[in-house]
Amino acid sequence: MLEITSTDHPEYLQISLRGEITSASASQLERTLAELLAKGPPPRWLLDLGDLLFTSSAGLRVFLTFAKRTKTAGGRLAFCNVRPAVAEVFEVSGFTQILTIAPDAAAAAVLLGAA
Amino acid sequence: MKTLALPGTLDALEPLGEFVRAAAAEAGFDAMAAGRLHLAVDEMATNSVTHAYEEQGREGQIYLEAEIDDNELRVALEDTGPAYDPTTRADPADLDRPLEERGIGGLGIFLARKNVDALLYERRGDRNRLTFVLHRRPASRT
Repeated sequence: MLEITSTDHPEYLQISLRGEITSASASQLERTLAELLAKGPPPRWLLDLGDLLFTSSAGLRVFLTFAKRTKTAGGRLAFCNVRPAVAEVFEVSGFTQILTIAPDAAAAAVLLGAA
Repeated sequence: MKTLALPGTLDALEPLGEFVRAAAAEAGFDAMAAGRLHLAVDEMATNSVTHAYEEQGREGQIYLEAEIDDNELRVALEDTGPAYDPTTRADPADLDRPLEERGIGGLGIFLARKNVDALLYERRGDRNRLTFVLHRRPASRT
């Protein structure tokens, strides 16, 4: 089960994920992110993973694709509140080096240049 | 030994996760260790569903077993697809590359291997059988 919530902030769009990303739920996330990007992408995105308990490589694939698209579109993307289990998967996969990851939303806003 | 048979579709992944985590908890592993095992089995079950069944245009089931003894927890995953041994695959070579150069995918088998103490393959009759082994020693993987 994966719940996706998007919240507009003046300086950035926040997307909060709750639950688990497996191959079964990754397509739903991919679709939602693509729709948000197509709407006229805000330049700044915050992915709040505070309630994301699990991700498989299917989720990593979606995150990587989205990070590449955001960059191509000239936008900024930061992740925050990554729980230990997900942080470990990021680390092992080398994602810690290629994604912008902040401890919390306030720190992420600074990294996004939105604070 | 506990067993569970699930339809060979992506819908199996949620009950599969519950089965694996319950087995890990019963063997005394904490949530982090349970999550690692869940990840390993989820990755390989996704491969089973897509390569053994969906890409072949076939239907089938995936079969899970969990067995605990004094030394280890062993979870087995079986499918009835064509013989395929994922344990011989090379790790992705681009893990330390910058964003622009990272390939999409290829991480599943790597993560499966990385997150258990041993990953064993055998062909048993018409089934591929993968066994995921976690040693039951305190704080073994931290």
